[in-house]
Amino acid sequence: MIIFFVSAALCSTDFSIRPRADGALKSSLTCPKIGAKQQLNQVLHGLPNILGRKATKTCTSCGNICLIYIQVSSDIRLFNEYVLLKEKNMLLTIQQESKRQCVQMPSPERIKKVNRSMQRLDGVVKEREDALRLLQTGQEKGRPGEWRRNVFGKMFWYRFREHPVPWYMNKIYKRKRFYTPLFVAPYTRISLEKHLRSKMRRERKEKQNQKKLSVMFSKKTAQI
Amino acid sequence: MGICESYPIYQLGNPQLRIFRPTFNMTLVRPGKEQPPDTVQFRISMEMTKCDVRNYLEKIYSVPVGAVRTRIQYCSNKKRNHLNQRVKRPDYKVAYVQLSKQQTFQFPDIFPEKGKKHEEGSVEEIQEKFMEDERQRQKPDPRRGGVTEWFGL
Repeated sequence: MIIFFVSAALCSTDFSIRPRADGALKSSLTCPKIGAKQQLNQVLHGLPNILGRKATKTCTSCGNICLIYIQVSSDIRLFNEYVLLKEKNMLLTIQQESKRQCVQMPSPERIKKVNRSMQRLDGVVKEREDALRLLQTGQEKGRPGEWRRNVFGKMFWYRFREHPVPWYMNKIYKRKRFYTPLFVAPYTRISLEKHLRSKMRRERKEKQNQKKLSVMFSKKTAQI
Repeated sequence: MGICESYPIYQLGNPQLRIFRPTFNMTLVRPGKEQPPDTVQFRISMEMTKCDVRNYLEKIYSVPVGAVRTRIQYCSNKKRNHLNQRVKRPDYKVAYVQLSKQQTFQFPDIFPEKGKKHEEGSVEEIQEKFMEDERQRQKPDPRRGGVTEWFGL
């Protein structure tokens, strides 16, 4: 499986994450991982001049990294993602080296912070994609699926997968059995009865509790 | 491709798969055995291929890559915990990347040793001096040339 990683330069903006100055580029060639921090500094300090746009720095809970708010939303994803990715790579490198040298890693909580930042970024991207899809096509879910029954009589949300052949030619898919055999009917009945019984018990208990409370705190003796 | 990990299947004639936000991380490691000066050693995810490594470094870090060789390091499943269950140390893939354009890379010293110097007259200094004297006293007589005290009169 060959994947091409698209660099930021191929996007519509001419803003590139790669460092411009030769000094930083040299450092990245001689020392690719430590150069990331220098690259970071380069980018952070050189940011307000890029494209003449206003960029304000906001500090997040992520200690070292400032999530920079850029006015165009297309920049925000790629810029922040690569910064976070590079920071994570650097932290993993330092962690491994500290293990090798039997030395304590300085401030290991940075890894957790970077992971949380990446998760938040994913959440933002997902939200935007959902909104866009809803507006353009009206589809709620990105991945198609449907409610199906499995062999045990339980309903579950089945998410579709891509296959190169139709389902009636797929041996493994046919083995999965998305139907309930007839002899499972008594068990579904029993589980339904159990569910209804527990529901009734909960409601009855709630009513009894209310009755007890109304005896303790009756309306006649209520004081405003 | 950050959120859903299953990639679309490839059939002849499909467009090339492109990823904007890779979930892979590459860890630079110090080589255990001596490597040629243009070789950099990485620990990568098991799912990455040589082409992935090349594209990752070229596009994200803009490092000119010549050749990439990978191998999978199997880690032991032999150790057992207090419940006598076998504990697996996770396997990892190692990539040896050779830089092009006659560049060299030397793994830097990230944790250089600092010489500790205590202030004069402090408790730590006196303790250090005492420990040093003790060690001197415990050392054998250098005139004996490494021979133990057992032999002799």
